[in-house]
Amino acid sequence: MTLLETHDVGVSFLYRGTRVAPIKGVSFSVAAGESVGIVGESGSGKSTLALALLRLIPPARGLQVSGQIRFGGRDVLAMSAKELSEYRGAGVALIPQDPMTSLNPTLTIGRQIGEASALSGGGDVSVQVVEALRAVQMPEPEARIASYPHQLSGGMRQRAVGAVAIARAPKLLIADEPTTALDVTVQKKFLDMLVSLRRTRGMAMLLVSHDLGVVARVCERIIVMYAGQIVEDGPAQDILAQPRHWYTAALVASARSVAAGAKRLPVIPGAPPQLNARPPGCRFSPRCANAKPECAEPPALTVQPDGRRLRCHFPRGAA
Amino acid sequence: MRAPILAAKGIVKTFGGRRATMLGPEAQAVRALDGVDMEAHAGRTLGIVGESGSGKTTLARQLLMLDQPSEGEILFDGLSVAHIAGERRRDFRRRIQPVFQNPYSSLDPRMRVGEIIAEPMRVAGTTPVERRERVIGALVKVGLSADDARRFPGEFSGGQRQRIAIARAIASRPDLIILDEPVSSQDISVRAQILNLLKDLQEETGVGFILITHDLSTLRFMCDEVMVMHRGKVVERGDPARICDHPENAYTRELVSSVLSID
Repeated sequence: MTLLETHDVGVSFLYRGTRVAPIKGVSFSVAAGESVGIVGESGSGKSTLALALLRLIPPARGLQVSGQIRFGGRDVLAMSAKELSEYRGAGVALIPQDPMTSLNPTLTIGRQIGEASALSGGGDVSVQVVEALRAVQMPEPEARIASYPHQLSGGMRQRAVGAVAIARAPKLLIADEPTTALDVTVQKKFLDMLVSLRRTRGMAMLLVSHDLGVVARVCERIIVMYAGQIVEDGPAQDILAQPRHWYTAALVASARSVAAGAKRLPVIPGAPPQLNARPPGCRFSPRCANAKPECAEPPALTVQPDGRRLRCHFPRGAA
Repeated sequence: MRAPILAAKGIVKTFGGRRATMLGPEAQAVRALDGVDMEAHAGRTLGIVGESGSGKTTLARQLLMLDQPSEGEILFDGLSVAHIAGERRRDFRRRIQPVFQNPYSSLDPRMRVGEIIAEPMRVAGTTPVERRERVIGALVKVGLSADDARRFPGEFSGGQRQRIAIARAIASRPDLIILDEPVSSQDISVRAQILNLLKDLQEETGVGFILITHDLSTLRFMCDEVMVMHRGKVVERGDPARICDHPENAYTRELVSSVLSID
């Protein structure tokens, strides 16, 4: 069953008098209970997409959000303020990147989780708070209720943020680089917690990350974004084993562990294009070793025989 | 092997701590570094790996003489730097160069790139003409162009800024560059470019590196020797491949097993 569906979503604003679009023509869907990873580098539009799904794009000059976002059949872009406050939290919840800035330093953890769960109404809030803390595997949950954020380690703080996010039992949890600010040993434990949380609660999850290793640990499906567009979308295993977009292939190659004694690391030449200087045709073509004259025409995102979606005129592995 | 350029012997660094007075109770001092020994050589790369709070950046600050250890000695060319002054201090400042993690805060946004790169050379007694030549040489070496000297840091991407920081470090022809997480704020595709560049520079100039990182695959690619830090102590040291594949210390094993790989 489709839970979230976007069609042709675009976000644009005016920058020095010209219209620039961090994301354009983004169409994808997430089934109930599915875990999807959105992978891309800075400027790929992955965080903008996450914010657009929650209607949390910060105001900007000439801001336009176009296309369709449907959640459980309802039109998110047409929601009233009241509907939105139900949608955010009970429908979709967000774990943002930085646990240092996403908690209020003057309120206890219990109070901040309680604020969220009280919105659902009914039941004993303090019981629900402990339950939420237990679900994110916070050590000594009863004792932590009275703690302030500064009294917790980075990993525990991110668990507290997670507890706020799941307090209203959302159907979809969006995590935007949830472990980038954490140490590796803490990161792995946090991701494993997310995996078990998703299973026990039957939530869908959208994990936004630049790190293929992180996404590979958590997600069944991977969507790769480049310069504001989806370039490849398919089952995680297939994409990692046999990337078909040249950009995905380069990302996968950089994420593989380096052979002992290697003289050079594999590189993607150049850098992702600036917002106001994206190439007119295939956006990856200036950095692509396999670009041909036809790549001056923008490729469409098409469904391949294997079910994958791909935006490339000459994909890898094609005859 | 030749004598180390820079060495640390029994470095201890404590922060805070006080006896009980009428102003407050006793507080335990934090031992950020707890008896660290190390040696850095020209032409070689020493990797320091550890998580936040392990003391790796505190160690870098002691090695750069940005801070003074509570106990122990830093040796530069075999002599203590405790009371270093005058010509020898200038010599230290020229021959040991830093590259920091975040090129958005380590480059003065109001200075032109050429001035930024020339600044460390001013202590080295170079003439303005020499400096100008070396600035251009350094820019070209890191893959930027001579024209970039006139521009400001704000006009460059993150990866280009880190190249500028590296150009600043190499322009004074140092013996040793201390790199504190030089690629962790960079995109994956830019990381490899910067690491390849560092390796080329080492091959070409014979400069030594101390590379602080939390990324094991960076260590494996870059380093001749690795030391693993945990709570201010060196818990394991040795060959990077050996440490990544057969860690002996319990903490190192946890660190290695936490690395998420797609292999």
